[in-house]
Amino acid sequence: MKMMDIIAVGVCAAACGGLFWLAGYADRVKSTKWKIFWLIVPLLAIGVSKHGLTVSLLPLYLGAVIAALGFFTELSGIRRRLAAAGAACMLLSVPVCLLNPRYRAKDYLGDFEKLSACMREHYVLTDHKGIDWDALYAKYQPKFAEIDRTQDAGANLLTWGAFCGEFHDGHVGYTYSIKEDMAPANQAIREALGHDYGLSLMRCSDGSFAAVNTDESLAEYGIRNGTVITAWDGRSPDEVSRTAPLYDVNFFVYDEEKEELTLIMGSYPDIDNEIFWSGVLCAGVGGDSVTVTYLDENGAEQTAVLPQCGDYLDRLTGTVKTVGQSVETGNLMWKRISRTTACLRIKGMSFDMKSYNSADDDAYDEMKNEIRQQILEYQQDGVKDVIIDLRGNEGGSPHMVNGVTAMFAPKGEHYCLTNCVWDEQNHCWAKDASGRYVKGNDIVYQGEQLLGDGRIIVLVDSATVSAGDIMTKEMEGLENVTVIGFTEPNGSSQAVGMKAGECGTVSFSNCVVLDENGDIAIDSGIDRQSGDGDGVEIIPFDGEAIRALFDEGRDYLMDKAREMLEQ
Amino acid sequence: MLDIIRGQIRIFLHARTLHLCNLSLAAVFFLMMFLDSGGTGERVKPVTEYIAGSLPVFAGFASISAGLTVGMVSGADFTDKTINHELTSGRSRAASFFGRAIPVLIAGPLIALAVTALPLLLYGALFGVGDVVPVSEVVRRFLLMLFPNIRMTAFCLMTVFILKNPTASISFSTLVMPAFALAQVAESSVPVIEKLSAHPFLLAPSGLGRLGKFDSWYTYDLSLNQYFTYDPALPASTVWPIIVCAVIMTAVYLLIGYHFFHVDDMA
Repeated sequence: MKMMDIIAVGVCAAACGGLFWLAGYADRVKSTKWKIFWLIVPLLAIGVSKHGLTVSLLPLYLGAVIAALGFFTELSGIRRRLAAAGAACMLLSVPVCLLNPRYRAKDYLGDFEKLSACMREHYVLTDHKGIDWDALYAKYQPKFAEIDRTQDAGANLLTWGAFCGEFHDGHVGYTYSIKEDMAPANQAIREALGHDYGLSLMRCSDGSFAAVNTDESLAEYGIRNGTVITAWDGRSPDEVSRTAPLYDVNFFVYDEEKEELTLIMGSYPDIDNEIFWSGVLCAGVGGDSVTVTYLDENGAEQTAVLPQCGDYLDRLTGTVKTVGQSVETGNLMWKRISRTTACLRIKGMSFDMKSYNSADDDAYDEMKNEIRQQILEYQQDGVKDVIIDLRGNEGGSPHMVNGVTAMFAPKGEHYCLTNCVWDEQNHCWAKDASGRYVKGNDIVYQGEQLLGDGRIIVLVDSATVSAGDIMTKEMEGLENVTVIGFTEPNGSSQAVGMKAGECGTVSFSNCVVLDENGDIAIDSGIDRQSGDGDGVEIIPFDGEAIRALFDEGRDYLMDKAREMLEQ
Repeated sequence: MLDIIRGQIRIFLHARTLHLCNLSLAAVFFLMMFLDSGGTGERVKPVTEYIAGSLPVFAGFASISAGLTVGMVSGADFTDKTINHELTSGRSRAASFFGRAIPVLIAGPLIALAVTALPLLLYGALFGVGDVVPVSEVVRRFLLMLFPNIRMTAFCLMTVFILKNPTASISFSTLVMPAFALAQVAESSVPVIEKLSAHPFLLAPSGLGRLGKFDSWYTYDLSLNQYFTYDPALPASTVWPIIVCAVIMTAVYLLIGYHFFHVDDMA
């Protein structure tokens, strides 16, 4: 039983005790002014518990009404009996709350009904992604009905993650809003990810699967970072990964102490990104031990039985962080890489609140002045080239994207994106007779070419999302820019809307963003190919990359960027 | 009792201060809309757009009228001792109480809704009605909002008869009700209001706000133009508890007010 409810029952019962005494006092002093106190008990019954009304506390509310009836009589005997009866009725709340399985039950099913209905009505990529809402509802409604019955917060988060994963849209996600759900949700993810056997797996560019982030104890078997794993418990790592409970599921882990998200993975809009990460969940699947088949140093196939040594979550977190590492500095901060190269780190497309909420051309003048000033200083100090680190960029304002890109783009007008027209009559995004969204005005920007003949390399990864996707798309179209990464960026650029339920909030693509042809910009469709990856130079994830990342602790992509500039 | 009722009606019709207050309130509402869009040369919003977005705020502030009506009409009879003279001349307490309660419970909410509706009607006549929400649904919402208004009027009446002073009613209606009206706008950022708003039948201002509120959804484009869509539907499961609670609590407030008045000494 919740503490506030216990306090509410206690306070109200004590108030009845007070009324019991006051009945005698009021009768002794023969004063009617005390009768107002009989009206306080119902206010206490409703107001004390911060959790709101609940059916389980009906005896409390009834008891308050019974006690309050003493207001209508002056006879102390009747008042005392009413106070006693009220207190007794209130105390009945305790066994009712303890025995009622639906006491303060969260409405998980109601949330799903409400939030999925909202998504169905307002999600702008239904046709583009071929979403079958009826099939999704039929698949997930029974699951949420069961979760509502069992009140399993962890299962609720995982099921929402699976539901959101069906969209393959980086903007579709669910976060819980009840703090007490964090711990069971984290625990559910920890259990779903499985056991740690001392290694993670990553898919290499040649299609093989390699051990990464290996524990030292595996050296006795000859398994090190880069060792090719050919089978996991007799099955291919790819097959095992696809059967993992969290494959294609959007999930995150929240560190309550640090108050930050420590791990986010999920379904990938672009199929190539999904393939890149397709091995990483495999290494948690298994029982008390797993039989791993691998190639030793001589290329011969060996087998090892690896015992489980804890939960896979921590090792997975470390693997994802190592592969997805970025320059450690603040947003829009610079770092000198070499004599001729500087790096601009952009974690998110946000400068300040005023500019973020503005679409004016001059909204980002202050930011542009800062960047301009820094580049000029660097140039005076011998810097010719710039690396822009967009890895893990969480997105934000497309106008900031234009503000930054304008600094580096060749002189002249450049195209960004196209607005969709709003149908004022039908209150929806306008579509033509063929069902395509109607093009509105183009968004353009003017290039300044601050670097002159200098070259620009942009670093991206699969977590570069939303406005990060837009910047990638703009940059890869510029002749003086090369975009590199182990993967393409995420592939989600439509703007976001949110709907809050009782237990969590769902976000989804709500605002249409088009390209110059009037097609959906960037977001992948049924073919699972996003529109901003064609210009990305994919850096092979191979033995060399694995050694650099996991053995030597180097930022391999940054080293590659420096190499390319030095050449 | 009929004489008392006729007397109260006469006061309603001739209370210039009350009329001035109500007209001023209505004028403020009209000015708010006019200065926001109608008269500034920017996009002229039709009146249904204001109704869809701001009706709970207008209605919440307009409920000041109900409190003013109770205070100035019924409460004034305590300050000028009219009630004392009535009772000493042989009128029953029940006649004095219900002779005042009945007309004020009818007139107060109607005046409050009129204060809300008149500026909207005027603005609509000048700048267009629009079709953001159906007019039939707006009328339905106005009729439903009568119930929480009656409940609030009954509460004000109860405070007047308990304290025998119009100040409480006027203070409550000018301070508490507007605060709740503003809280409707900020409901997601004030935890206590958020909890209470989850059960709109609990408090009359919450019920008033919920009945006047049109569920909305908004989207935007790259130029940050915002587009709102409004859902005119109001679930019966939301409406019926508000109405039932309003009826029950009106009866409770009248019972409490009469109980105090019935046994108290007149000063």
